[in-house]
Amino acid sequence: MDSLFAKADAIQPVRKKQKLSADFRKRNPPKSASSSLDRIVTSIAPHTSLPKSLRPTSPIPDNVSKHTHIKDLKLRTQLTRQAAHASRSKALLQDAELLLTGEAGQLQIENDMERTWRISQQEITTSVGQEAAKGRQEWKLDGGPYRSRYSKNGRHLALVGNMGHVATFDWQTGTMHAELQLQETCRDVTFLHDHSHFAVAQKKYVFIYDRDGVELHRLKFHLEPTRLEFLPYHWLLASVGNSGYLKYQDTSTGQLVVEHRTKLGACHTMAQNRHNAVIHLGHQNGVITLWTPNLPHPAVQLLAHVGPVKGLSIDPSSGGRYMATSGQDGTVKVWDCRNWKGAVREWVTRGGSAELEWSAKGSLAVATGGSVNVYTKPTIQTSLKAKANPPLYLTHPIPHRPLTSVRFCPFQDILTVGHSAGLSSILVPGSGEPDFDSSEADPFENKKARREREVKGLLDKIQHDMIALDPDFIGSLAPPTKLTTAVNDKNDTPFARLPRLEQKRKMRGKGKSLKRYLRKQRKNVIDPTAV
Amino acid sequence: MVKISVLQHTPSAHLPSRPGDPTPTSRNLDPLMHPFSRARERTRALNAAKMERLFAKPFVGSLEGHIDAVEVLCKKPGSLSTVASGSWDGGIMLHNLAERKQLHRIQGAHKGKVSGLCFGDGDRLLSCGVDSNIKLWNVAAQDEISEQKPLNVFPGKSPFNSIDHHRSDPLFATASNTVQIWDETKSAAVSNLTFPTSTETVTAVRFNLSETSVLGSIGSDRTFTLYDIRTGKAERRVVMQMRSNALAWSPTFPTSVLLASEDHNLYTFDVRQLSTPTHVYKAHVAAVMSCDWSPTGLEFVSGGWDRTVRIWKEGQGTGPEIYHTKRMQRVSSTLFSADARFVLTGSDDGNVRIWKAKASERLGIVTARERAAIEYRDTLKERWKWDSEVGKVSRARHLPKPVYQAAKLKRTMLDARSVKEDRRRKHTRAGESKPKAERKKVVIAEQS
Repeated sequence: MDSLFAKADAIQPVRKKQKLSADFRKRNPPKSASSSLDRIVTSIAPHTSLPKSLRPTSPIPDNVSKHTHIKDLKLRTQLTRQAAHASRSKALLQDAELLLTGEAGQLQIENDMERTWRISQQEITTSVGQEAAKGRQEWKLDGGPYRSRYSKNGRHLALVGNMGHVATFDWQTGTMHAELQLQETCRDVTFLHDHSHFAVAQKKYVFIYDRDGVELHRLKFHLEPTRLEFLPYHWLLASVGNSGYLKYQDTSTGQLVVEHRTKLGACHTMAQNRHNAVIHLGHQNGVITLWTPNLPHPAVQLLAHVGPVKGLSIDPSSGGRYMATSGQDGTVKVWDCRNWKGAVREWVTRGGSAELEWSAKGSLAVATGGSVNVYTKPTIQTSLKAKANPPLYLTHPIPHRPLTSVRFCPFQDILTVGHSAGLSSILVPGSGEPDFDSSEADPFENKKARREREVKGLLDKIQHDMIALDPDFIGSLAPPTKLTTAVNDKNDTPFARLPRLEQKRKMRGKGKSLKRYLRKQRKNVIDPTAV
Repeated sequence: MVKISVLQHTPSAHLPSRPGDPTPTSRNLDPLMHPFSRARERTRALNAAKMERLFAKPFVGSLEGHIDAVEVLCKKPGSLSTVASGSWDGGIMLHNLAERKQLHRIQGAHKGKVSGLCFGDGDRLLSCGVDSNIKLWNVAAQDEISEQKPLNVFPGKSPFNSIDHHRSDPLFATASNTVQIWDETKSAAVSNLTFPTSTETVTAVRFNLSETSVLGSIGSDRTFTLYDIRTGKAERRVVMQMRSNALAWSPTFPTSVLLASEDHNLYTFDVRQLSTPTHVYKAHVAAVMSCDWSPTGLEFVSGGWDRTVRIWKEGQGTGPEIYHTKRMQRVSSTLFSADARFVLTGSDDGNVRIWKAKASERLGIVTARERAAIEYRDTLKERWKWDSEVGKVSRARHLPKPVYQAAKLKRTMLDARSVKEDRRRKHTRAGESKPKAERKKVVIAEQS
C-alpha cells in the first residue's frame, strides 16, 4: 500500500507561480530545481525508454572500411553505417559467448591406460550425485519393442509400444499426461510443436491426440504409416508408410500439403535434418533419398548399403553436415552431406542392423545387438579409408533384444534406448547442449510462455515450398542465369538492356525465332551454333 | 581416477525466485541453436509488410463548410492546429485541426474566389481575391461571430492570384500581373517588381524562408522568377517547357525550391543553378496543382488534377505514397501540418480533408514496447524490401480505375515516343542527334 501511495504523488501538478513578497523570498531561499525534478524522473524512468532511433550511436569501429572509392556521399554513408552495424553486432556476438555459463558434462581420463568405455553406468551414477543420477532410469513395460521421442525442449517424453501402449509424460517431475492402450499395432510417435499434441502412427492411419490423450484427428490419407517426423518451423507432419508414399500434412491449417511417391516400396527409416528440414528416407534396396516438398523427385539419391537401410541420423552439431546410416549388413557409414562421393568413414558392427542417433554435441549412439555404443565427434567425422571401428566413448549392454530406438534428450546428458522390455535411459556425459535459448526451446517454461511460443511460432511459420538443401538461399543473391543468348560467348546483353527497338521486335512469320533457327540450319554457313 | 560430471540445470537459475516474478530467460546466440533464422526473419518481414498495408488507413477526417471548391490553404506560423482555407465562393474559414472544428468563418470575404491567404503576425489574416482587393482580418477567438468587417482593405488594380507574408517584417507580396510589395500600414503598394520584358500573369509568389528578402514567383508564360526586395527588382528567371502551378521553398534547405508543373511532374531547383532541375518527380497522371514541403524538409505533398494526393520523399523521384477517395475531386491545394504528421488537402468538392502523412501510423500514445516493435518492423521492411514478395506487398497500391488507365496510357505513349526517337536516331547520320537527359529537357532559357 505504501508503495502505491508513493507512486501516486510521485508526479505532482506543476504549481502555479505565486508572487511572493521580497522578505518571504529572503527567508526561504528557493530549493534547487533538481530535487523536485528527480522524483519525477525516478518515477518515470522504469516505465519509459528512449526509442532506439533517438539513442546516441557509438563511434564507428576501426576495422570498418570507409568505402572511399564510392563517390555518392549518401550511398557511402549508408554503406559505412551498415558495415559498422555488422561489425558491432559481430563483436556483441563474441561478447555473448562469454556469458554462456552452462557446464557441459564430461568423462576425463587422467592417463593413457584408462579408457572411458570401461566406465559402467553404475560408476557414473554413483559418482555424479543423486540429482543427476535421476537420468538413469529403467522403465519396464509390456507390449514391447518400444520407441520413444522427446519434445523439443527435452522435458516431455512420448513412448509407444508395438502392441499399442502409448504414453506421454514429463519425465523430470514424473507427471503423466496421457496413457493409452490402443489395442492395435503402433509404429511411431512424435510430439507436434510442443507437448500439447502428439501424433501416433497406428496400424492403418496416423492419429493426433491432445495432451490428455483425447483423439483429435484421424489423418486418413496417411495409410499404414511406419515413421513420423515433425518439422517444427514449418509446422509439417511428415509420414512415410508401407505404400512408399511420403506425405506432408500442415498441422496449422490441416491441409495435406504434398505427397511424394518414392517408388521404392515400403519404407521403415526416416530422419529429418533439423537445419534445412529435408527429410531423409532409407529404403529396402539400400538407397537413401532426400526429399523436399517442392520437388516431385528426391533432391539427392544415394546407394548407401547393399541391403535394406535400418538406421539414419543427421548430425545437428555441425549444422546438418554429416549423416550416419546403418544397414542390415551390419555396417555403419558416416557421410558428408556436402558431397556424396563415398562415405567419410565406415565400420562393421556386431549384431547386425543398428539404430542411430546423433546428439546435440555430436555424439553418435549406435544400438546394435545387445549393447549401445557411443562414439564422439572428431574421430567419427574424420575421413578414414580403412573399415576400422572408431574409438569407443561409452558402451552399455542391454539384454532385451531387439533395441528399436535411441533418442538423446535435448539439453541433458541422457540417452534413452527403446527395447522389447520397455525403455532404459543411460547417462552419456558430454552429449547434451548445456545452454538453451529460451526463445527457441525452454525446459523450464511455464504455461504462459508455452502459449506465447505457440503464437509466435505460428506467426513465424515458414512456407513449405521454401525448404531446400541450402537453407541460406533465402535472402542471398540469385545465381547468374545459365541461359544466354550469346553467340560465341559474345554480345550477351540481358533483355532489359537491349535497345528499345530490339525489345519491341515482334516474332511473327518469317522472323520467328524457330524459323530463323531453321533457316540458319538450311543455310550453307559455318556457324558453331548451328551445328 | 576418472573425473565424471553430468550436465545439470539448476532450477533456481531458471525459475522465478518468488511467485509473480518474471521467469528468467537465457540466451544462446550460437547460430546452430537458431535454425532457419533467415527464413523466419523473412516471414516476419512479410508479416510486417502485410500489417503495414492492413493498418494503412490514412484518412483522418474532413472539415466541411465551404460551399464551393477550396482554392487555398495556409497554416498559421507557430501554431500546430490552426489552418485557414479559402474557397471559390469567396468565404474564408479557420479550422482547428486538433478538435476538427471550425474556429472562425468569414462569408463573402471577397467577390468571386479567394485566391490567396496568409497569416500576418499574431492573429491577423491577409486574404486576396479576384475582386482586386486585399483584406486584413482579425481572427482572434471571440465569443460572438458578429462583425465580419476587415481591419483594413488594400485596393489593387487587377485581380490578385496569390499572397505571401514576409517572415518577420510587416511586409507582404502579392501576385497579379506584376509582383507587388505591400506594407501592412500603408494602403498602396510599396513597390512593383517585374522582369523587364515580362508580359505575364503571375500565378503564385512565395518568400524564401531563411533568405527572407528573396522571393520567387511563377507565371503564366511558363517562367519561374527570382526577386530581391532589397534591390527592388527581378534577379533571374527561367522559362520552362510548361507552366508551373505552384511553388514552395524548402524549409530546411534554403536554396531549394519545388515547382509543381503542368506537365504532370514536380521539379526541385537549386536557385544557385537554374539551368537544370536537381530532381524530377514523376507519378501524377495529370497536371500537378499544388505542393507543400513537410517542415522537416524530407518530404513533400502534392495534389493534382488527377484527383490524387501524393506524398514524396525528397530525392526519390518515383513511387510516392498515393491517397485518393471516391468523393475527392481535383485537389487544388495541399498542406503539410506543422508537426509533419498530417497532410491537408482542399479539393474541388469543397472539403478540406485531413490525412496521416504516414498511412499506417498509429495515432495516440505509443508505449515504449510498442515503439520498439514498430521500429523492429520498420527495420525488417527496410532490410527485406528487395525480396520480391515483401517488396510487392509494400509497393502495391490500389488505384482508381481512371488513374490506373491514364497511367497505362501515359506509359504507352511515352514508350512509343521513345521508340520513335530511337528509330529516328537509327536512321539519321551517326552522332547527329544525341539522346537528351530528362532533366535537361525542362528548362528552355535562363535569363538574368
